[in-house]
Amino acid sequence: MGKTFAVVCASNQNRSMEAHHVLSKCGFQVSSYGTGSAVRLPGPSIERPNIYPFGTPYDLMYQDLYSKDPKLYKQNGLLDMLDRNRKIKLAPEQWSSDAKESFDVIISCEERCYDVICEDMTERGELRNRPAHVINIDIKDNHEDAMLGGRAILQLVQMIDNERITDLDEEMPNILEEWQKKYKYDILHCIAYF
Amino acid sequence: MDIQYSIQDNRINVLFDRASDSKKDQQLRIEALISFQQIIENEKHLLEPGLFQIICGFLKDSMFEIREWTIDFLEYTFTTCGLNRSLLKDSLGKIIPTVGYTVSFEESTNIVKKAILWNAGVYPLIYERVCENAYDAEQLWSTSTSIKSQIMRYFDSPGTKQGIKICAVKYLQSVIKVQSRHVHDSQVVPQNDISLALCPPSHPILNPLMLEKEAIAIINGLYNLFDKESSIVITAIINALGPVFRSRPQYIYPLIKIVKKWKHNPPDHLPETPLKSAKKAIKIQLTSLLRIPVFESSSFANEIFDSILILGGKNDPMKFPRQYRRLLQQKDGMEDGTRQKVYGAQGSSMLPIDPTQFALPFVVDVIHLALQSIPQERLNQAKQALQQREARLAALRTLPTPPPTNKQERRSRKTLDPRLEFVREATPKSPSPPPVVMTEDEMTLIKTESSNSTQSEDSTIKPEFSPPNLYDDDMEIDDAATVDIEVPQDQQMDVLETENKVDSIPEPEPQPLPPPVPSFKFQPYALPSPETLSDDQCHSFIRNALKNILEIDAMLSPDAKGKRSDVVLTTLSNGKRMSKNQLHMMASRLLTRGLDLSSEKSKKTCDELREMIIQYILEDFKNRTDFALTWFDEEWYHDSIMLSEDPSYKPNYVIWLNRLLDRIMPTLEDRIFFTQFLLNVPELQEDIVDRIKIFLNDPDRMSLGFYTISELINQRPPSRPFCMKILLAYCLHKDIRTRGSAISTANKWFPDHPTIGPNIESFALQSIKQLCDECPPPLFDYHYHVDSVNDPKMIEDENELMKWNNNDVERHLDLFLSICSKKSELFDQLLSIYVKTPESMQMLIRKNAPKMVETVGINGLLNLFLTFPEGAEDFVLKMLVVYTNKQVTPPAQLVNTAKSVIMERNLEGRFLFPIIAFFEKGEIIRNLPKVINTLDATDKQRDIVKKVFLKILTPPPNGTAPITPSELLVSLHQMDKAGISLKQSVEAIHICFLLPNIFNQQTLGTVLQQLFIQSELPTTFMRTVTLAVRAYHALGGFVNEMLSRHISQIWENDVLRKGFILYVTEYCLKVQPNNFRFLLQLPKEKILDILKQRDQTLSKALKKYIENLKPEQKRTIPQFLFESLEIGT
Repeated sequence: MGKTFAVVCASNQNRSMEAHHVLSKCGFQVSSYGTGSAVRLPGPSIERPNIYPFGTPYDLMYQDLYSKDPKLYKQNGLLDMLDRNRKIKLAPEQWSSDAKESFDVIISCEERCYDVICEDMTERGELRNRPAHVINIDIKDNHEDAMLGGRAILQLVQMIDNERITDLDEEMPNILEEWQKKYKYDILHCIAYF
Repeated sequence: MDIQYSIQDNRINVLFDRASDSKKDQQLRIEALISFQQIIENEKHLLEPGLFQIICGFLKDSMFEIREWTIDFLEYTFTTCGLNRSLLKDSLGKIIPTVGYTVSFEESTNIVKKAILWNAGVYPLIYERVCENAYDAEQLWSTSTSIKSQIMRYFDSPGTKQGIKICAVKYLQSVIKVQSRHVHDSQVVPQNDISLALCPPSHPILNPLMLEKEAIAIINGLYNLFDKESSIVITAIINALGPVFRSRPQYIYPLIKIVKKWKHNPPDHLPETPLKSAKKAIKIQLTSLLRIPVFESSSFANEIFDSILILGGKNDPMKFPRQYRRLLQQKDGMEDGTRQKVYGAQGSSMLPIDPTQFALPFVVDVIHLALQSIPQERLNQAKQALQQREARLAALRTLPTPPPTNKQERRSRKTLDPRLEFVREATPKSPSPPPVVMTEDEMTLIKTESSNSTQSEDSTIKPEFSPPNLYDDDMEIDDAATVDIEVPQDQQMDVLETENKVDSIPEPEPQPLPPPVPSFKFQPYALPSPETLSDDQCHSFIRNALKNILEIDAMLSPDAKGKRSDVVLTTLSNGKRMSKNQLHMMASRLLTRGLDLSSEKSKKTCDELREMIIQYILEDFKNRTDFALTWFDEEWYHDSIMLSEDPSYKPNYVIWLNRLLDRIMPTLEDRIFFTQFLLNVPELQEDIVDRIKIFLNDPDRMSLGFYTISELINQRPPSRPFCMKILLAYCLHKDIRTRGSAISTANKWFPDHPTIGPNIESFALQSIKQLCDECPPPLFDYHYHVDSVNDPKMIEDENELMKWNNNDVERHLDLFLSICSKKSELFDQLLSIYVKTPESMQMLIRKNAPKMVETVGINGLLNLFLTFPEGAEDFVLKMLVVYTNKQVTPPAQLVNTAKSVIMERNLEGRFLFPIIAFFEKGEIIRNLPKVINTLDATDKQRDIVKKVFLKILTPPPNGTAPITPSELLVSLHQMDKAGISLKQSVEAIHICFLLPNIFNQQTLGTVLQQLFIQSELPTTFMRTVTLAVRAYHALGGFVNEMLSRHISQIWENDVLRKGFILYVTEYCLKVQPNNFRFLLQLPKEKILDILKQRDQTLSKALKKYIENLKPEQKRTIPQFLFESLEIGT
């Protein structure tokens, strides 16, 4: 019991924050991050996205989008999403620069993010000698899939952080297998070190 | 000798005794160890080898929690707490044997895992220790070797848990890294690298050759596990080896071999998903290796690339570094078997942007739009020309040509599409035609063939990486300036740009270029005689030249990132390469040393040109930082030359750097580029750095500001004084968030940094010393003023004489407290200042007690209690109150210290308030008079004592209160013996009655009963009786009976007698209105005494009562009452 989790997507807005939301609501110790170079949100057209640096408070983004086009951003769900996010934490965090502590389990929502996490942990030099389970669950980046994905992640975390599990390293393959029977997501899993 | 080690610190002794006492409660033992760790966290100097040995003893304790704490503590001391490396090395000998025992015999998997991971962390340390001093290290090394064997054995025993294997992999990684050698083309900086290189020759214990052999055996063993272990262990091995590959690339080959083997024989023991995970892990590690610049040119880069392709890397080309993406395209072309396609691919990759970066639909749209804009006839022309050229090329290919000489080669290159040249130069490999994706078999085939083939074919098949010549001799620029720059005119890269260019595709004839730039060297060329240009012409030429340079640069800009700014731009006619970096240098030198500044007009032109560059840089600062730096380096250098010649010369560097900063700062967001920029400019001056205030004052960009200033302080010592000045001033900022960021930035250097640390300390002390002044010092000018060059002035406005307020005191304390948490002895300084300040200031300082308590912690508080100077009593009391309010139960140590200090210094009762509740019963009763003595008939004090009572009587969460309510109330009746005045005793008793939930009817009954049986009734007794019956009428019957029994004793004491009369009056008139039965049953003389009182209310009421009685009832009334009350019968 009492494992620490990190959920990671590209912009730390939709998928990871949905998971952060449900996990923290159920009392798990969770942090969330993005692996992109900046936070990208849809804009008025595909070639004009709204880009913010990591660390920009969700509230600020909310105010910004609200001032730009409240109707559009209400309709595409961005305002609701940002409203939820700003109640969870201050600002999106970047995996490579903000994730300073170690986690027991890291869940990424996209293969690209999984690559970044594994590579970054190697780059850090693995000096802390702490193994961690890194799991990738491919979730599409839209509100509906993020919600379903969030539920699936919650279920997985509940199976992992459970008093019946005394040795997670031993049980992890079984947990993943059992979980995959219920949820048809493609997954990747490895051990990496902090 | 070691066994006789004895612990010097008494606290630790006590805690260890408690922790090792197996009869004690488990929780208590753990708590003792946790308290010990807290002591160590604050006083790391207490740790010494002997102490470690004692601590290790706990690893053999019977309790799991104790053993787990021990291994966690070792982990903490060796990895996180940053102890002196030599202390750690000296302690190893005391720890390793016990940890070895744990690795072999511990039954809890969790602890074994932690022990192995701890070993992984200390293995380099052990090795270093043995290398340095072989004299007494034999034992240490042999123990460590046996631990190593034990850990390796885990892989052989069938029942080993996965988790243990994962940790063992990490341990073996550490061993491999130590027992191997650093290779020159690897990434690690040798001085941080603990390797075989450290071992002195002919070391008596270590044999480097054997160790290296062992490491190779271990790594082969790990690779062999790929055939039988689960994907968890396999991925753990791959990821653990990642950092090893970077410093020991020699170990990459076996992994590549495995990948090649897997191509045909994938491991059959892994199901689909785990196999996918394992392959993915290998792919990630290999791809990341390709991105390491030093590996780009290494011999195995090619093989890594091929392995990635085997693992399916072709499907996501974006993961590759740029040059490999091109290679991939070329390979694709070869696989399709169409040469045209290859050329096509090369041609398109000529563009400075990589089309593969865009989504396919977008590219198609662009091509579609472009084609629409070209008239049909031109399109036909172009198509025709292309066909002609292809035909010519095909003819050339069929001819058996001898290998071309250099000159010929250059000529033939010229006749091809010039864009191809760029690709050849920009790609590290220079394949023509490009290589094929090669399998192992194909490789061998090619190798044998290649030995027979010509030089050119050889280079075709197995291209060598030639790293781009990144740092060409700087002076070659001068050559570059005089020879042809082919790119802008000759490149014709953009088909869409003009119609002319489409025309020129079929036959790129050498076009005459504007003089003085000759176009092709191989033509006989006569230099025209120099002509003199007018000033205006000159300037316009110069302007155009610079404009051209900037345009070329702009075309390449989107690519520019990190090293890529060195991308080769073109090959000059002298065969040397010109990089983008050199282009920048050319532009910069043109502006500085390149121009004659004699006339005013040329100065003006220069400024115009500089303005042009600034504009250009501003368009895309992020990607043009390199350019800006090159420019400023040149400006600075030029200034220094000019100044040495003419001291009156006005330097350009500062002016233009300031102009650039003024324009980028308002909108800049990107911290890395900005900070790097400031770190890299040749010189910083105070007014340049002063601009950082703009960031520091902006809540959104504050972190950028502090990051920048901290980097400047760290990395640019000459600018440290004025950067520190700003940073320290922000440590006193009014806004708590800004101040907090400044303090945490400054705190980084305290206390370890040899110069900055003391600087911060003296500033912090200075700021608290200012608390002694009558009013706060004037505020630092936190605003950036465009015109204020040099010393930022202090604001001196009408607020000058403002008195200290809360916020001021807080901001002057914050930095000090923050450094106190690292150097606790500083806290005494605050106390010595505190006693000198006036009362109003002391109050303000006390308000910060919660923060201070947090800073000093329990140890500081104890120390404070023992040492505080006279005059600081209130301060100490406030700290104690804050601490005890925060904690449910303060540690016994604190209570005891406080108690003894109160006794010793004979402190007032209020010092007892926070802690008396944690005393034993006897002590509470003994100290109660001191508490009661503080009562001064004010509501405030009464309320405080009430709270103290409440605290004493409220039981702790899982225990009982030290004293019961009845015991407390009874002892309050004994206060006269301790010299407490009657008035105060009564006040204290009254307070009890203000707590009706605690002093309920039952409690009061018990109290009265106990008071009745005492040999002598206390003076305050009747008061309590009256209050009790007034609160609970039901007590009346019992009380009255007891009173009647003690009536004679009461009449002996005048206070009691008066109290009794008051009680009777109240009882008969208020408690039981008009019920005189209790009065009437008293002895005659007592009744008469009562009725004789000056206050006649009772006797009048009795008289009225008797008069109203019926005659037969009157007969029961004793006769003497009629007489006494003068009632006629």
